[in-house]
Amino acid sequence: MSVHLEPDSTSGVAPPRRRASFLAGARAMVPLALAVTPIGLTTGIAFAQLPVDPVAAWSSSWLLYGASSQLVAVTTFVTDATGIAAIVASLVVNARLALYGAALAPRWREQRAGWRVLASYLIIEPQFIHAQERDGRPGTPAERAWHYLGGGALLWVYWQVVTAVGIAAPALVPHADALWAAPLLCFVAILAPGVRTRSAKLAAATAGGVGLVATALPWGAGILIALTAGMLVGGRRRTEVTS
Amino acid sequence: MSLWVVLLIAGIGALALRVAFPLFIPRLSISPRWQRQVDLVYPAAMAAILAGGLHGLVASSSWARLAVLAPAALVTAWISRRTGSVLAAIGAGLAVVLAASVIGLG
Repeated sequence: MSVHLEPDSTSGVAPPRRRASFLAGARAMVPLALAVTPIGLTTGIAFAQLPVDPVAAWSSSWLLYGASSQLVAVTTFVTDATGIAAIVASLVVNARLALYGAALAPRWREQRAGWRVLASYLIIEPQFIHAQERDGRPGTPAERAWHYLGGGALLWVYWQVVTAVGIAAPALVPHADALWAAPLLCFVAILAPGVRTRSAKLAAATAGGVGLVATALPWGAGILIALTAGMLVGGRRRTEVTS
Repeated sequence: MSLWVVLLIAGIGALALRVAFPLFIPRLSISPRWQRQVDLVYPAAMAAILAGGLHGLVASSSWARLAVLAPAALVTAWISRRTGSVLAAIGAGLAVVLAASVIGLG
């Protein structure tokens, strides 16, 4: 009797190659994981300053898994204890993740549903960068899939640890105020290599400009408005160039 | 509503947003024009989040910090583009901030 396994691209690779791709993905994620350390620490330190259950606040690291949405959800909950504003604000901030998912979805068509759910759960900016970087190099879909999971696993575990350190051990970061610029510089460092084309520069400039004005809007709507404006303006430039 | 319930609902919503396209519309054929638009999500999202952080400094009138942040951001962007190392770029940017604080700025 033979057992039929549903074919997918992750099973189409020998175990040693899977391990090698998984470990290579984890190694490639190390710089990005280290880069988010200041954000993780400051997120944790911010939670520790708020009048909320620290364990519940830390749990946002695996329930929401994203610094901006975690901060928005927990801080909005502090100002509006009904929780509705916190949920809406978090969803608005996370709306960009659906767009990342749209960008990655075509590459995952051959994967099983369970794999796609796991891979989707891991979607966040550094993971997206990690996937984009790997796609620019040769390799099979299976190797890319294991590479993605390797990077995602490392970043996820690291994020849980670093936010916990930020919450539980503020004494380890006695001069946390000195890190005030770290989160902003982190975004600059991640953004800079991604804006090489004129349309990307236009999209970033528009999103940044609109974001400066729209950030004051309630429920984090400013980020979504700025993101949409940047995409529309940058995309318009591309269309003009193409036509 | 407790924070636990809020985070649980928000987490389910976040997962739904993440899996929406990969799980339910995996065979969506994206036109080249839409794909070009999607490619701009990343720079636009990063810039929008960055602007949110800058807005906090502007709103609190932290002009000295903004004055320090500008050269630090330039150094960070330059090193990131030159070396491709996010870590080295942040380290260099923080060094600028630290140097500014040592001489009494920021």
